[in-house]
Amino acid sequence: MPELKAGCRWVDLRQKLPPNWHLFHQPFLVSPVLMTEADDQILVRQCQNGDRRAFETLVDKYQKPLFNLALRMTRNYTDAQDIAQIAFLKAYENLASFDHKYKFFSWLYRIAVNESLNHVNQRRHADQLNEDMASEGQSPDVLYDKDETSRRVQDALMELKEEYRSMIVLKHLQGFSYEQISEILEIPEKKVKSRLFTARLMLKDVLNAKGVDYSD
Amino acid sequence: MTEHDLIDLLNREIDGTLLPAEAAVLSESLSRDPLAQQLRSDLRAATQALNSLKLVEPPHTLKPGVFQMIQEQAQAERRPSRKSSFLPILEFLRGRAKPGYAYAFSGGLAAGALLFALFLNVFSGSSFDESGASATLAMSGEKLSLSLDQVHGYIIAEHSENSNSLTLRLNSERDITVRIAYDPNSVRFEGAQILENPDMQLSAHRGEVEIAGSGPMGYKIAFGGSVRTAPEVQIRVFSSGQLIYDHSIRMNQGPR
Repeated sequence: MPELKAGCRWVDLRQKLPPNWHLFHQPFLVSPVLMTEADDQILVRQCQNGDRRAFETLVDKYQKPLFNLALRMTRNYTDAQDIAQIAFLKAYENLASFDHKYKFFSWLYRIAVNESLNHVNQRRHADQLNEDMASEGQSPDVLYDKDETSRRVQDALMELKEEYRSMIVLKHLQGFSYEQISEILEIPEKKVKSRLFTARLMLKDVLNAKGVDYSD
Repeated sequence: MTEHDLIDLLNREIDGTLLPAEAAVLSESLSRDPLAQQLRSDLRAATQALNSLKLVEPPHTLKPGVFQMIQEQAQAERRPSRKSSFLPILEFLRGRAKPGYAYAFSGGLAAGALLFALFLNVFSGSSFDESGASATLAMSGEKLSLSLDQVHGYIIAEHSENSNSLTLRLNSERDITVRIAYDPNSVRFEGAQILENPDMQLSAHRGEVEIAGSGPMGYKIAFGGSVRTAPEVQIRVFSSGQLIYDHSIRMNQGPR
C-alpha cells in the first residue's frame, strides 16, 4: 500500500458492503483539512501545470468550510451548495493568474465571501421585486439546524448586516485569526477587531430582542 | 485605559489569548467600570450562543458538481459561437416597421420556445440536459442488449440518488475482457458482486474496472456518484484481445 500523507487515511470499503460482495483494492484518499499553506502552494502549482487531481485535493480540503461559510451567510442549503461550487469554479478559472505571494486559502475564501454577498444582494433584490416570494416563514432548508437554539442563533445572525455577519462567520465558525480575516476581507486588522466587537454586541441585542438569553 | 484598549482586551479574553498581566489589567478595569462589566457579559453571551452552531456536512453532490461545471465551461468555450439567424429579422422589424411587430415577433418566438421545451419535457421523459453529452442516456432499469458474433448478453444500468450499478450478463465461447472506464473525479467505484462464474478475474484501477476470463460472465458493479451529474461510463468488450464493443452511457434516473 502506498505511503500516505499525514492526516490522510484509507477508507475501508468492506465496512460498507453487504457480506456477499466481492471487494478489491481501490482505496480512496480522504484528506481532512490538515494540510498547511505550503501544501496548498504546491497543489496550486500542480493545478497550474494542468494536474486536475491537485485541484480535486483542494476541493476535498475546502468544500466543507466553504459550504458552511455560504450556508451561514445565506441560511439556504441549496444556495450554499451553488455558492461553494461557483467559488470553486471561479478559483479554477483564475488559477493560471494566481499570484503565489498571496495565500491560497485567503484568496479562495475572498471569492466565496464575495459570491455569498452577491447572492444575498441578488436575493434581496428579487424579493423586493416580488413581495410574494419573500417568505416570512422558516424555510425547510434550515432543518440542518436540528435544535431550537441553533435555529434562533442563525435567525439572529441573519438580522445582522452582511459585513457583520461575515465577520462572525469567519471568526466563530471558521476559526480564523484577526490577521487571516484581515487578509480574506482585505481590510486592516484594527477594523476587523472593532467590527467583530460591534458584531458580537449587535448579535447579543438581536438575541435579547428574540427573548434568547445566554448571559452567565 | 482607552476604549480601544478595553475592546482589544475584551476581544482577546473571548478568544482566549489574554496574557496573565493583561488579565490583571482587565480585571482591575472591570472592577471600576460597570459599563465595561456589562460589555463583557454581553460579549460572552453572544459567543456562547454562537457555540450552538455546528458545522454541517456538505452535500455529496457538491464536488462532482464542481467538476461537472468545469467540464461544461470547457465545452462551452470550445463550442463556436453562433449568431442567431433570428437577429436580422428582429433588427429589420425594429428598424423598418412599427416597434410592436418586433415585440410580437419576439413574443411569438418565446412562446414557441416554451411550447417546444414543454413538449420535450413531457415526451422525452427526462429532465437531464444532454447537450454536449457524448454518451447515450441510460434510464434506471434500462437493458442494453449485446448480440455480436462472439458475445451475447445484456447490460442493465440501475440508478438511485447516490449510487449506480451495472449488471453484466455476457456469454462467450472465447476469452472475454470487459473494461469499464469512468471519470474518477465524478464517479467512485464501490464494489462488485459475483452473480455467476467466480473464476472471472476482476481488477480495478483508478478510473477503470476490468473483468476478464472465459465462459459466462455475471457481475454487478456498483459506482458512487450522484445521478444529478449523470455520471458517464465507457464500456468496452474485447474478445480474444480484439475490441468488439465500445459504448458510453450516462446514468440518469429518468422521470420521477
